[in-house]
Amino acid sequence: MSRLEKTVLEQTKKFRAMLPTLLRQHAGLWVVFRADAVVSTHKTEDEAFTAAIAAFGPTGGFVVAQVVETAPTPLNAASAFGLAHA
Amino acid sequence: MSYLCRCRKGPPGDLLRHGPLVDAILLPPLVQAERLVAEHKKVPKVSATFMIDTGAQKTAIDRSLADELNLTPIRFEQIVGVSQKAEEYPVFRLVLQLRVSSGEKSHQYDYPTDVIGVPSPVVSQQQHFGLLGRDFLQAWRLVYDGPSAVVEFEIKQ
Repeated sequence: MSRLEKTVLEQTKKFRAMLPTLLRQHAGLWVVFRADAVVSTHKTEDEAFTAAIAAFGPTGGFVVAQVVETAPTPLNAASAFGLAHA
Repeated sequence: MSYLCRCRKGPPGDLLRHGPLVDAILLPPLVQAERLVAEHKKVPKVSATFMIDTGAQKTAIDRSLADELNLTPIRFEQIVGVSQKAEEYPVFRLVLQLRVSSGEKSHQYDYPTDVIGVPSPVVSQQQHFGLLGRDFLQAWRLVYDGPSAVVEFEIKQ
């Protein structure tokens, strides 16, 4: 994993840790999250992504995510049923 | 206006053996492509074959395709794969370009979407490099005609 990807992963985890607070303030919105803080909020993912690229460039180490409760997702039905391969 | 995309039509039994396969071109998101053009750089693109998978919640691609497009993850998501443990997988924003028909005309249709980047062995053991999951299909009307071995999907805009 590259240094940039590690940054994105760290910021994703910080974003998740702040979700209870963010859900009270920005539920349902898309956010640009960087350096442990929400940079901007947007109605759509495309708007958030465009704003993030404009502000920080493709290698800016930002997270674009929707402020919603999340849970681990099965890759596909085969993995959900415990089968080795789809 | 509606746009119709047809899966590959192979010999008898092909649909049963390999599932519904569709060819696509992957591109960086428009805002990134525009930056590259402004910097007089070439916009990368890669061809990929997807299997339509109604059992998959999320659309996924072989991670190497994202690397070929020089994409950076926009976040990570916890995915339960073959290990049965939740693991962090990168999510990439890109454009899925499909060959569609609208009336008599045939053209390319650009569909911006998020995809999960998964290690090669998970998705590349068969004839496809990605799965088109339910997050993609929620915008499309899918028809699976087994007796005719025809699978097509349509979007209205």
